Amino acid sequence: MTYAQVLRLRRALLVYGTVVGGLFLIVVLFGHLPNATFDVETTFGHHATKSVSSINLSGLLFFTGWVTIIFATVISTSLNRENDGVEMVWTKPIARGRLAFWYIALDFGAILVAYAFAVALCVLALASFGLLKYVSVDGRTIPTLVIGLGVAFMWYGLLQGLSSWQRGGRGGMVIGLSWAAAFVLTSLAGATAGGGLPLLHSLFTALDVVNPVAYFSSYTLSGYGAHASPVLPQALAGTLMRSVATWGIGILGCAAAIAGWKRLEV
Amino acid sequence: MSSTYAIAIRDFTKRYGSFEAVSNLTLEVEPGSICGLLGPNGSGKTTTFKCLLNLARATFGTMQVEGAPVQPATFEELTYVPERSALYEWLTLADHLEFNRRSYRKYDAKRADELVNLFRLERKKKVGKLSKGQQTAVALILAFSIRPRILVLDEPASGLDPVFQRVVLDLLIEAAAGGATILFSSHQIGQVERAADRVAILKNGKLIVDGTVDSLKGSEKVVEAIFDQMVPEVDGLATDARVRRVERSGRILRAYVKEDSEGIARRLSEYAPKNVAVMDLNLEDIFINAVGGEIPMIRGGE
Repeated sequence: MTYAQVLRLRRALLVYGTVVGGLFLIVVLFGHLPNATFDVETTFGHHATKSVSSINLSGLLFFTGWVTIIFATVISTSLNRENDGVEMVWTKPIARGRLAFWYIALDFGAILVAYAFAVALCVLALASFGLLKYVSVDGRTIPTLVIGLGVAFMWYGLLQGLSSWQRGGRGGMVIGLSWAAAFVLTSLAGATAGGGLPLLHSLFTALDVVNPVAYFSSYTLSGYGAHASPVLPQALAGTLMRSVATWGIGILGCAAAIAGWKRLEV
Repeated sequence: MSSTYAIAIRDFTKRYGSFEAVSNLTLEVEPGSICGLLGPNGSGKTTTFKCLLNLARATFGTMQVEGAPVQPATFEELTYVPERSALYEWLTLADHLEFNRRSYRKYDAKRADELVNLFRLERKKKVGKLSKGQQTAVALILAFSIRPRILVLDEPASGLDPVFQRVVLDLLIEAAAGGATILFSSHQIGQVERAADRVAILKNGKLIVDGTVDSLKGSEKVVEAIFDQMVPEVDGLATDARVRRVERSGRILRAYVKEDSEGIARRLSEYAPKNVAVMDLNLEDIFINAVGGEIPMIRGGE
């Protein structure tokens, strides 16, 4: 029953793989130019240094998290995509709720593959420069992984929830608007953080509870959750709270998407 | 008894806001029969199909397939061809067949091959590159390839050329002969007349004709008189209680007669026509009579 979705995801992963793989090749090729050097002390600089210390894996995961988020939002309207001709799947011998669940499960699997692929390419790139031995894992790594994936899933779930019940074809518009809204809201919360406009700041940070970019941008060189974020409410300080929030909102979004899709009429 | 009907729609009403798309429709289709649902555009045919298949919710009434409301498992034995293509334009016919193979336990690959050859389609061509008629053919191949017990087809010959329209009719008749129940809509009245053994006509969401094709055709007679010159005035014919309607066209006079058609024929013979004939109604007459004016419900028997 999910065959079309499997093919759709295969195609999306192929495009993603081609684009990300192409970027990887460009980086590797430029990195191997005769005068190219890396300063690994500050993750990915581009000037020569002898002071190689370590590359923390969390920085790498943060970078690949962005790539994964882009992929997650692109595939996030899979239920909406069926709506223009939903008779095709709704007249198959499977319950709608179950079918929607499988779509979401497959999408989540594809998000994991996309994340793993991006991480693998980064590791390969480092290996090609002989820098793999400097990669280190510490307490920041797991939170970065959990929140990075959580943000991708949260955004995916929100977009599914906002689009599954709409007429087919509106998913693209929802995705585009969500990116604009996410960055504008984060900027507004950040801009009002100085203390001059406390009421507005409270409003923007409250809205940022459902803003994936606000969570993702709370990453610092100390990792996630070590500091309070100026764009999120105080209640969401700390790794655990942010993890729970991102994954919880993602799950709620998916549940709303399934409920909305089941109730749709054609 | 609901269990005796393959499809049972009872007291069905569908409203969109204040607009009533279908009003109090009751329609029962016996197993192994072909029921043609006719009606002008917007008469509620597609809405009825959608509510029957749970694609939309009925405002009132019950819809049953083989004695129970439609559930996911119903679709193991029921296939639907919508009026508007619901195919994936970015997939090929081969992909669609594979989709069907994975979706239905009863998928019959041999039957699918036969149908692909019958409609002369290319398996590797993307559906979006096919003509409207070819897309209809793909939808039909998918529907018939599982050998369903029940088929609900909304304009199944839409966009097909006359040769393939005939093929579709043959498929319907063959499926019914094999025990399948078919409920279909069409604007091609000739197709319905050839394939259906029962006809229902909707107008403005209301059922205005329902009966077997034979009984409906026999419910009235047409007395046709052909004259050498223009049709003469026939005194009192239009107001005759036995006559429902009179049509004049050049040298031809047609009287739609409820009873005593022979008596009307004798009366017309007094005006020295070249020829007078008493004929059964055809389905087109029935349809036009039904939707052309405000006519009370005609019940054509069981």
